[in-house]
Amino acid sequence: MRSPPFADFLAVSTPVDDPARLTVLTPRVMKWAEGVWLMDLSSCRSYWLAMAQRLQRQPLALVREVLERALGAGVAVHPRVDVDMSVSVNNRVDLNERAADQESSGGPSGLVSADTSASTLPRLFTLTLTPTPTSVSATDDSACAPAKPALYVVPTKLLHPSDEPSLDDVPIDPALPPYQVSPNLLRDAARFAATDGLCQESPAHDDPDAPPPLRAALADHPWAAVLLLGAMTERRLTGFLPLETPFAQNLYRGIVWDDWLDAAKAAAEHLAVNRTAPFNAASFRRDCHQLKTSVSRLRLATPWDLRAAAALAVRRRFGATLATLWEWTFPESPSPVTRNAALVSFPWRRWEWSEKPRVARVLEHALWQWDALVPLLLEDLDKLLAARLATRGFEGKATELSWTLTLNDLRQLPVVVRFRHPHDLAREAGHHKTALLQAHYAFEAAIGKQRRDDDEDMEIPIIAWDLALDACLSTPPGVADLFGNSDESTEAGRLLELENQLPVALLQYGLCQDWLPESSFTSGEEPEERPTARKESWAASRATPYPASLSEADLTPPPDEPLSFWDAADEFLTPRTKAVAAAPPRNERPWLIAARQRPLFIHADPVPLDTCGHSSGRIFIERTSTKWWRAATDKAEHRDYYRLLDRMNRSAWIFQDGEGKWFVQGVFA
Amino acid sequence: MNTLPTFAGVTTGKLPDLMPRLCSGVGTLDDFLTGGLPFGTVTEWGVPLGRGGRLVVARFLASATQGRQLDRPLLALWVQAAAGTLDVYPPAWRAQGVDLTRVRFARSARPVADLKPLLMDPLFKVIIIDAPERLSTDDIAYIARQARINGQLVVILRNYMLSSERGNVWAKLRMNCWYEPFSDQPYRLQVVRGFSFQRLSFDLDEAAS
Repeated sequence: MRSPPFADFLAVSTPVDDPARLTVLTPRVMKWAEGVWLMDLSSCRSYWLAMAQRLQRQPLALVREVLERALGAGVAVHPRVDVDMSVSVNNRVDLNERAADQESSGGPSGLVSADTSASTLPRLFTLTLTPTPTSVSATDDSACAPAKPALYVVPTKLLHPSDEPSLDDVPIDPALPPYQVSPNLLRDAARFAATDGLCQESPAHDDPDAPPPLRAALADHPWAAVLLLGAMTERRLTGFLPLETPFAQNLYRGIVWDDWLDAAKAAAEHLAVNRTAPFNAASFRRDCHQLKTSVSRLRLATPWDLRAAAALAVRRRFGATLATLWEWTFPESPSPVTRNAALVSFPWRRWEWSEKPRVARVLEHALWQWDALVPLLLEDLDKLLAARLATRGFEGKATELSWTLTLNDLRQLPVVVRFRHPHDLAREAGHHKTALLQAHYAFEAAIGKQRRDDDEDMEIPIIAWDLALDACLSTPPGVADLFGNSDESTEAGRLLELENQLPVALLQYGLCQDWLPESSFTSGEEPEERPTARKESWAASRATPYPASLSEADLTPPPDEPLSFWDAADEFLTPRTKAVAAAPPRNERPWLIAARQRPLFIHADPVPLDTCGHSSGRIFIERTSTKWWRAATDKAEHRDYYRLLDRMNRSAWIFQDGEGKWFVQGVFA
Repeated sequence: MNTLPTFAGVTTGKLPDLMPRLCSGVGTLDDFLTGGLPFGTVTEWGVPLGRGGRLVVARFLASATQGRQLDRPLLALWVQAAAGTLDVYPPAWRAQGVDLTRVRFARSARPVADLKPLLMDPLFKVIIIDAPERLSTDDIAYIARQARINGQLVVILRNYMLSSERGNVWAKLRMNCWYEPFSDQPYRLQVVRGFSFQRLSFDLDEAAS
């Protein structure tokens, strides 16, 4: 079986409130494992449970019914539950039994256009494919060797306001058919077998009372998915169509200018709303007209005929907006950096959920001591947990809570409770140790700041509060099992939990292949928070990291290697170090040898050296130079590093720059 | 190991009871410490800034993260408790053999208050608190208790030389460590409390015994 194509984005039109609503999603909850696709239910299991409870149905029966209805009438659909999928203890036996029943019965799995009903089905869909061949015949119930991958449509939560780029200031215009925001771009992408027959034409005579069929286009770029979806709509095609299939390629190439310009105008309206870049509607209309006129004169029927035109040329003649859309239509060779940049500029729109899980409390009497607040806050966290399960879109793990305190003078004091890692409130129901710890840290910080602002040292009475779940995140399978349960017994899981309970960060460092001290390592901090170089020319550059777990064997020099340049006697080079330096091991980088001569601790910014009145000795260690090819000027700056030894036998790592000034870079602590 | 070889400047004495210990990989030092630093205890080191003593501690850290003479590699935590602008320089740590994937660094002026969940959990078997400025007797007592319960090795580093006059009753082992240049065995160890042995000179690049 050949390797399936890669698709990041899924454009789906679903009959929600507005039949014409267009949704562009990332299928982010699937993974390829052991020859089958696994659907990650961790993002939607609680949703299924809540839905089942609301509808008073058995969860599995509900899933089964949804699948059957999603894949159309007349098709016997058997939800494929792979035994490798981790399921909750309660459901494991049931689902496995079901799987065994299905396997033994040899029921076919269908592949037809999805006929969705808005009344009972969720709005958003993602896909799974299993390469295990099953019959795609709509009516064939007999067990037979299948020829095409089966397709299952499983509702899940895919959009969440915490995942998209920050678009706080973007207004939502209900008159526009919105592009929905896609969370966690380019993560956990789906792979779909390139097969024909994934989509089919809808019947010529549609039942006017029937809900519109589902059609979905998959592509590496959301714009391409939008264009393909438009082409499918034009051709009345339904079902799922990956762009990489030959059929989809032909369809894509056949998009005419009118359709392309219509899509461009729709995108431009969103660009105007987003205001992420200067956009002039009148100029854009003129550019579109000019483009249309030009291609008409050139007798070019489709945009594909003009694909050789460079985006720069399009920009010069038809403006920046059309050039951007042109680039998205025909990306030459999208590198990850280019593609990510393009995705950021795509006119995403925020998905606004109608309500967040929220709990409000009015205290019987004012409180200010943390110990007195804890029992009440614990109650409210449990209530928040219950509210979360009942609210669509907040089934994932919490990353941020907002706790707004009302003070006795009716002022509002916001306390933001954040978790370093997505935290499952349900796992600590009843005691909420982690949430209480983080709430305590945030509470102390907020109260302390309020006291400083008020310039008072008195207690601040609290009379009410509002606790809301602001942000959730569905973690990928690598972090949690399929039902959102982290494995406490693993070291990594316990470390994440402990980090969530701390007010300070635990940093882990990695090494980079770079000789500059400032650039030779990375940490979990943002570049702005890391120790930066003294000047721009010494700015940290993220070099390629190499494994930081060299074994002792790596440090053993091979025999009979020629001597290196490090044959000078140095008081601080031990015999072993000299031997190592004399014959660099194959796997050890020269800068790791240099690191042996460097201290364990360095200053975030070099400190001017003051040796007034103190005698000291210096021993030369090394000379480094800037990456002159990256510097603002062509002149390379160098530093001569020394080990400074004072009368107290204290050692410091100092350097002299090109201007002759001395600085302390580190301390041999 | 029932007897110790005789070193210049080192007096022999009685062996303490053996406990699970963390070795440094330096033969002389490990022999001196009867195998290494004992787990389940608090050890206090006087390592003045700039005197090179922390390099010796880093060797113990390297052994812990590599799992040398242990059942498995251990997770270690190094807490920078002192205010200041000094930051960790990871390549030097790696060059000393520390597995950076198994060590975490934190900065906190109140290590006990801020890191209590870590102290209560046996996940980090080696915790090094570097130059705490505000560590009360109660804090140290708490640390010692948790170390005993969780089988952790907690090392408290001080930026000054320790003396027997200002004691720490909760530290089983207290010693000073520094670097004397221009010597064949440049590292010095002086025990303040814990052994009847007093002093040791060694070279960090000695092979393990």
